[in-house]
Amino acid sequence: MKHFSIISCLPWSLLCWATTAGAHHSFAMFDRSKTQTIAGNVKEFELINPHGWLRVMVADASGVQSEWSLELGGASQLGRGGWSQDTVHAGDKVMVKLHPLRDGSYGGQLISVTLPNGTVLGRRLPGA
Amino acid sequence: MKVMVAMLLSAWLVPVVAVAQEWKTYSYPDPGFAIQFPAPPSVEQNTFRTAAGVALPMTRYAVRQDRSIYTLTVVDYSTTNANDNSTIAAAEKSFGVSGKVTVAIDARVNRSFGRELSVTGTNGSRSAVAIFFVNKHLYTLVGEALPPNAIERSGDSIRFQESLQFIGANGGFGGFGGFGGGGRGRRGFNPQAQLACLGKSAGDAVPLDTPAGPVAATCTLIARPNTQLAAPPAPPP
Repeated sequence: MKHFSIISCLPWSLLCWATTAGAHHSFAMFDRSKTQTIAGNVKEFELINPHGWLRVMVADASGVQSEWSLELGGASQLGRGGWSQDTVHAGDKVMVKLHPLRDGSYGGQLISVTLPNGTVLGRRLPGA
Repeated sequence: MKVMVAMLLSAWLVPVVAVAQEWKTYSYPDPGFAIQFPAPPSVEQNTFRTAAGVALPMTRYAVRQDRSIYTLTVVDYSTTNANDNSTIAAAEKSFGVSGKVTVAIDARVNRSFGRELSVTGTNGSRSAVAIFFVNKHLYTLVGEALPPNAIERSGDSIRFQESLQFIGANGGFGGFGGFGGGGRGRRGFNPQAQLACLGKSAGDAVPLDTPAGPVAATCTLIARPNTQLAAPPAPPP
């Protein structure tokens, strides 16, 4: 198998490493050209490796609840970004900005979450 | 009496559900992967027969929970000269038989490249699939949400798909400064850049995401240590 790298990326190398150093996979299933916002109640928050997960119950117009699974960074990344086990709790009402899954499934890559007290946390850095 | 039965039933069900929903990482140093399941997986040894009729050892890890099925099948190709691209392509093709492939995209896990698919079954199921060929082992992961209303459980299928990790000397954590790795950026290439050039030729222009925004980039061939660039002709597995 041939392996290629990108010569034009060399000046960006530090930035590139920074963005991928903690990423254990390629995020290919997320459509990063799209941004979607959902609002709902936290079902569960897991601060784990290789990725944290936030599960949010979202009601549609008729009141039917659906569970959304949102992928975050790894535990150490999140810790540096201000996340802790006490950041969100089951039942918290949150608003989440995300990159949706390409196939329309109920999930995505978390961009930011607005907590009940108005604090905004990104998947890496506060307010990102 | 009905109330009593309901209370007893709920008392029995609640702890079972709580345990059953606890996702945990399960590590298998041989052949070298880790993955998360919502409950301890069953492990079955079996035989996989290739299109050429060769029988290969196969191990299947599986959990069925509620209306979701999570399986990872690992086929040992170490006794063959199987090529990673063709083996992955053959596995991907098989999913078109049982349903409609709605998404098919190049993907990376640690230092290994493969494919990720979304499949809608003829019965209305929704599956998140990952196919990788690492250290002469074919990994086929399927997180399947069963009908009815499969989409309501589709998020967990993705969670399963995204939890696969490869550990060990090749395709493992080291190299990108990941878990147990050799430090940030000490060796190896930018995986995002490699992914952008997957299937491309030297000189091809490709877009590349960076934290500062997308940049125009050009693929270039780089000699990579311990990489087999050309393999001798070998019979198909």
